[in-house]
Amino acid sequence: MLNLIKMDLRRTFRTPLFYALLLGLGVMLGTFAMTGVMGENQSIAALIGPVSSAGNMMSTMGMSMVLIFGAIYVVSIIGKDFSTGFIKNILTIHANKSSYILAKLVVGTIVSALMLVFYIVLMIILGAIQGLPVGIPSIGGLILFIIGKLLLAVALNALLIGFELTFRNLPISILACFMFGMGGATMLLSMLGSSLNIPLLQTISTFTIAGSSSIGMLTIIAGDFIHIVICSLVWLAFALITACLIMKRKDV
Amino acid sequence: MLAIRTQKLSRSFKGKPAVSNLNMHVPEGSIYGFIGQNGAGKSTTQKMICGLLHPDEGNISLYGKSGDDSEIRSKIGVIIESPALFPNASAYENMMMQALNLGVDNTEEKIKEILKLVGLSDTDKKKSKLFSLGMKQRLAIGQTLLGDPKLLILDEPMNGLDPQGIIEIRNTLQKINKEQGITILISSHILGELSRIATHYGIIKQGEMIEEINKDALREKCKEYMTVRVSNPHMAEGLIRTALGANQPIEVTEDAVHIHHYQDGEKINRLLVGSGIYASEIKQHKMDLEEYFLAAMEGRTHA
Repeated sequence: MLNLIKMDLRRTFRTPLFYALLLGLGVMLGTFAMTGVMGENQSIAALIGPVSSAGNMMSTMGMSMVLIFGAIYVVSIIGKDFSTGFIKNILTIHANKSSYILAKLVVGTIVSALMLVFYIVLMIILGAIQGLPVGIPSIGGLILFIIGKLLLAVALNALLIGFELTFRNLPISILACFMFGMGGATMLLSMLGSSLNIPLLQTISTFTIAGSSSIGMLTIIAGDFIHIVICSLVWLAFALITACLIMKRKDV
Repeated sequence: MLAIRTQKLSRSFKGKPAVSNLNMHVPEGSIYGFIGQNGAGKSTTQKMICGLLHPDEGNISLYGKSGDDSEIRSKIGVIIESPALFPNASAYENMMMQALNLGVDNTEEKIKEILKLVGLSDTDKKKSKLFSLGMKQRLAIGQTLLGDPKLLILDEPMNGLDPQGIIEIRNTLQKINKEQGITILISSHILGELSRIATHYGIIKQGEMIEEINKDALREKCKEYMTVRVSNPHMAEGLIRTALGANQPIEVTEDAVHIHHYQDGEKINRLLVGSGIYASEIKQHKMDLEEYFLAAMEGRTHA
């Protein structure tokens, strides 16, 4: 597995896709800065994530995009393995197919972490240029927030790895990245719960990846953090088991 | 020792058998030519050996161990269907990817050495998508040589190559087989080329191994035969059988009689002319692999 991780990391820093995705994030944040959306927030912290229960659209969307871009990168390298036929070289050598999945997950986590750091640093720089105060409630809160987002990124990556291995169709997988990352199903559940007055549906919606992501805050709230950790781990386990089963049964 | 041994290997797709009860025996150090028509099951078999397809039944052993053994699998180099290259990467970078995949030590040195061996050391940063098919095939072979393989599984590595490319691949394969003792399982439609390098053959028809034969036995079986072209081959056959005895192996086709292991054309001509049959051609032949393969497909190889 270590060999596969080394191989994919070398690929990561030598293929334009990784830099294109970083550029995409940069362009998105630059657009926010230029259109004045950033200035509407009261602090840099509010740009990164919700400080209190009232989050803002920009930070929610920005973080979702970080998660989505990380997942797009992972499904793309899997897609490339299959389209070039290199997967045959990999799976002939690595008899244990789950090592392929785990390697991709590790690389996806590293890429997501890099994107997250890039996003936060860029936010701080752009916020500072706009003259916004830092306003981070606590460093501990920020660390827990980042850990939570990273865990959700791992779960989302695992889910999308399974998706790409099942359908082996990159455009569909990229579409799924947006669907799961932006939380289309989560919003639908929440709206249904609200309009039909079924609180259970709204509760369930907070247990999806996007739903869990939306409750993450920069203020330390132990219950919310545990919620995010549990959700991430459950989704991760589900996605990994499913992906391994698919990989074992499916021909190459 | 056998490098590859399959026992009753079977695989179907949507209920249609692609490989049925296939028993294959590839000796260590051999170049095993795996031949069969399109759709005969060659690629399916090779993919099963590589672990890329799951057999419905049967088992595979590699060097006496299970086909799933990680240690053995790391010593296999494959080219299945087409060269597996990253199109936007150079030859060196493609080699590096495979080297990392294999966990090769002294990577840089090894890559340079192999690129030289396959004649691609002067491609610099040229992207592999700009390579000719021959160069791509050679690069793919180069990839298979990283990690000191014991076994190469090559599916149609000469497909689409020009004569020069074919010669280059042939020479490379012979060289690595002789110098490094690497066992090669190779499928190819270019039987003339295959016959120049293969030491063993397996002939597959409709998913079944119909014959496994080594080079010497094939040479023995491909001994000379005489073709007597006549307008009435059945009448000629009767005469020849009477003259040469019932044990003489004879085949009759639409317009000719083939007499195996026989050389006296003059005697046959006298015999036929004496009975009013005039041969338009009497010729000595030696079967080549292509003819032998066609005969095997028609079930005529045991004559």
